[in-house]
Amino acid sequence: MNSDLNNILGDYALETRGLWRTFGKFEAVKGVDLRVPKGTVFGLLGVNGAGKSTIIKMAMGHLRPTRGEIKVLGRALGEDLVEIRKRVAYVSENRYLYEWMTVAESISFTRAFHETWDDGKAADLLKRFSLPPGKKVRQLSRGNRARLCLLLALSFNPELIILDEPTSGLDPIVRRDFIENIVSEIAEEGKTVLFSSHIVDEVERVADYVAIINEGEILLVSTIDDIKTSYKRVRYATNGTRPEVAGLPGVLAVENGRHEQVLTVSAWGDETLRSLGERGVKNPEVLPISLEDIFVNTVRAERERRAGL
Amino acid sequence: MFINIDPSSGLPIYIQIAQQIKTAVAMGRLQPEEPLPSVRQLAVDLAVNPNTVARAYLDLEIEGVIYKRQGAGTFVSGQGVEMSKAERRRVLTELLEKALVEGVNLGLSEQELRETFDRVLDKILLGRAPEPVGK
Repeated sequence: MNSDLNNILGDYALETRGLWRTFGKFEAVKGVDLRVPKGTVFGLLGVNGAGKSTIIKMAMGHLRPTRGEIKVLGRALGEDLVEIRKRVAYVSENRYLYEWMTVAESISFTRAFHETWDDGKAADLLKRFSLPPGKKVRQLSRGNRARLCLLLALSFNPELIILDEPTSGLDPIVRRDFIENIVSEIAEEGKTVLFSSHIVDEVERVADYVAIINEGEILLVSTIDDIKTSYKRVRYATNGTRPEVAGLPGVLAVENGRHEQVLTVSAWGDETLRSLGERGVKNPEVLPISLEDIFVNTVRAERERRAGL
Repeated sequence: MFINIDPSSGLPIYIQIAQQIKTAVAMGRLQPEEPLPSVRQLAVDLAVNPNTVARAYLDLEIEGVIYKRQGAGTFVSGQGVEMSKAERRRVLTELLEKALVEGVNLGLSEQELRETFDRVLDKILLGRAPEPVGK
């Protein structure tokens, strides 16, 4: 996906500027600028309590920002909430269903709110998920409730699908159902998916873009492939003296072994290679690094930076 | 087609897919003119983003490992991947160098390195030996 092109066109499914939200004295979201290009899958990655859900709730109009702006599908959120809701699907961790309805009733009830409802798709998903139409929602297993929510969300052909920790607490089979169906949605032209997760594996498989969120701030936004290209582990023998590398730009973490040093570098390239060379590093070995390690190291480096302030 | 995605490896997923298809072709598990699954199908099967599969296919197409036929799908190329001999040597040298450096660092002797090399090569060549004719 070409992010430069998207910048020029300003073609975002979701855009926030200076988004803040406080709860009493607690600052849950602190100046978040998020731009989700149309037609991409965008993952919000963060530990529990990082502010992911708060951002999503504000984007859905369920929670008012303390300050800042939100645009969804090109419209300011305040203006046109009803219109926007018709085009945006939302699946949250706390699945909102009417307990006393049957599966079939839940479907016809939701159908009534959407002119764009696709009966064929709903029937197809009902079959694929083996959902019992006559069963009451209250009798459904946790996994089947999640599947029903996904069915309701996908059947009106939304332009933007927002999923807040969609697979949280689900068994691997239901989780796979979710991921496969989300993937098959994305394959359709023009759909945008924004989802939050604390499961790195999931974000890495499915997302084009990832934003790492920590304590209400975005630490990093990039495409997954770019992250993996620029973040590296660098390993070399120390031969008696340890080079001073801790302060070098882009060095996130330094691990000292008995006879080696291992660096986590955020922008690997000729420049870093040269400055390592100037400090006496010979034959550094460059290793790939997993998104999980990048996530952990980025969050830790930020914590250390704050502790040092 | 069996592809094993390991998100915890630092390698981008599109590279993992491309490498494994290349290996499958080299080992004869994928034969020339064999059809490959569509981008969408493979994305669903592997539970990865379709853009990732599309990027792997694009890279393989540029390298001449696979080709697209309008409206018919994607296929494994016929004999001879379009890469010059020098280029192929360069790629191989780079890969071998990494492996051999590891081997030296593991403390294997020259003799052991050569034996291992031969054994692996034998295994690969055996794996792609043609079926016996006549039966």
